[in-house]
Amino acid sequence: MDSPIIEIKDLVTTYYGNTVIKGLSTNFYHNQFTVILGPNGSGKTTLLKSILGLCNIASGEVKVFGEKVHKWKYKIRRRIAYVSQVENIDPRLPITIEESVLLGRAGVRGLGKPYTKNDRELVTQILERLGIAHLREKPIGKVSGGERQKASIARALVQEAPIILMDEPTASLDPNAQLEILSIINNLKELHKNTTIYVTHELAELPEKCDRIIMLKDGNIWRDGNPEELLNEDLLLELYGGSDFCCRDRLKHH
Amino acid sequence: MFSFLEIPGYLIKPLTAGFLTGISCSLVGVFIVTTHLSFLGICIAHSAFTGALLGIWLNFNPTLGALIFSLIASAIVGPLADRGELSPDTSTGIVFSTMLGLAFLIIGLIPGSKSSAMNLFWGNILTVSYTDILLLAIVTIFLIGIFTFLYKEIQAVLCHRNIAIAVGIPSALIFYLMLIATGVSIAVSLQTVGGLLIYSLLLNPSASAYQLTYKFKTMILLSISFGVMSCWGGIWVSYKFNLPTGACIILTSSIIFILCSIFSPKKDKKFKDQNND
Ligand SMILES: Nc1ncnc2c1ncn2[C@@H]1O[C@H](COP(=O)(O)OP(=O)(O)OP(=O)(O)O)[C@@H](O)[C@H]1O
Ligand SMILES: [Mg+2]
Repeated sequence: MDSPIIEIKDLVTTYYGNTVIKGLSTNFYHNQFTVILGPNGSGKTTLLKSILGLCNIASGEVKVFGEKVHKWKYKIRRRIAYVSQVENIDPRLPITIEESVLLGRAGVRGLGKPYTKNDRELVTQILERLGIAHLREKPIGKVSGGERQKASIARALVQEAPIILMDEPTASLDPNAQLEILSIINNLKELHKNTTIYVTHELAELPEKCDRIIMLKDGNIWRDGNPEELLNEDLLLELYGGSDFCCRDRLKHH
Repeated sequence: MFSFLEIPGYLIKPLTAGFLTGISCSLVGVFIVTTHLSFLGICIAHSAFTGALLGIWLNFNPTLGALIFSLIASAIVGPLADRGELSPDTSTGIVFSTMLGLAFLIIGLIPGSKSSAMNLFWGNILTVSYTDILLLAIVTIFLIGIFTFLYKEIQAVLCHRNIAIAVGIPSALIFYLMLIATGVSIAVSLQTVGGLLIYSLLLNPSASAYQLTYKFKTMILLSISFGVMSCWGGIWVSYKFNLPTGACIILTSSIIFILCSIFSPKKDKKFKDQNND
């Protein structure tokens, strides 16, 4: 394989002195679609945030395109699109859905440069594709949680970044929207050969382009391999540590 | 009401100062109110006040003192607010009360007449000098420049810190730039409008605008208009009825705020949202 796009070495991440990621090492490559699975609190979100440089890295390092990430290094982040798990937005904020999606172009455009016609067309296309074009003039606080989630996915997509991090992007979407998002993401990989990291709990709806699965447990990688090896009941039962109700039915499709 | 011919000559300078202060304070107010950092704004304003007092006591330019102290306060409280996870209120409160203590200490230490110190509480927009107006003009133009040039970046930071960070905007840089802008515009307005008046000019116009619109551009324009309206309305009322100017400006801005809250389209909406979440 060629040189890694994201390198993580002995990463230890803490929140207020509480260690969450405990010495994790791995690499992510060009044109690789990784799905991260793991129980609540296993550190999935924290791992994504560490790649963005948003967590307190106690030791070890994260490099993206060979450069160490850091809170102040914003230029690297233009090349990483991120859909966060939750966005607690003040419903009174003065910003419309369209403007909030346009923000995805803000970093790419550069400091102080206005959006171009091209940016707006791109936004319109994606809004239409996700079925929220009719909401473009609505304030961001006035739409439903799922619609806001679509806007946040749209924002990440218009960024056209080589790296896409998605933290349970389909968690609050209806089945139709879930399929649409999955097909967009699958397409993206085909077209742009992105490095994609996708966190999910939806075992039945894993993206078909997925070529690697990482199972996180208690702040470290527990299993790492291709879907054929890892997607079996026994492993999943052990991963989530529950009674068998959790995984049996959901895996039927695979 | 206000036909230009009726304005007595000595009101021209105060009206100009009111115009500039109205614009600059309500512009930084937009930042403070949408990021819910009102208390931080008040803390910075108070530190500026303490710095100006120090200038009076030690015989250097009070505006310079105000500038230095408001920047110090931003440097202390900014990183705490920038974390975005913990509410910065406690630490802001500590800085605020320390500055308050310092202010009273310095007032006690100033020898002789304390009238110049007391003037800082209320400012004196009627005796504003050309130098003050020049400074105000420079800062106002600088702020309008920032808001025009960095419009989308500021909007991103206001919208959500994590969004700004994720799309690759120098969020921390913008945040500190806005804090510095807040400090600077407070410092240059202090002598004119006073340490107490400045709170209301920072918060009321933008809070009023926040009640009325969901459009960022409209909010900025409304906020500026409310700021200027408060200053001009206050000066006019105080001139007509021979009342203290500072108090009239504060009350005008409060009346605008009350009216906006009454007619706010966001009122019942907020209640619904609380049920949803
Ligand atoms: N903001 C925070 N402050 C303090 N501790 C946190 C914070 N966020 C996460 N943690 C800690 O880090 C651990 C891992 O959290 P993380 O959000 O990475 O889990 P996750 O795998 O994304 O879980 P989920 O499936 O619920 O999204 C949590 O158990 C929690 O103790
Ligand atoms: Mg999570």
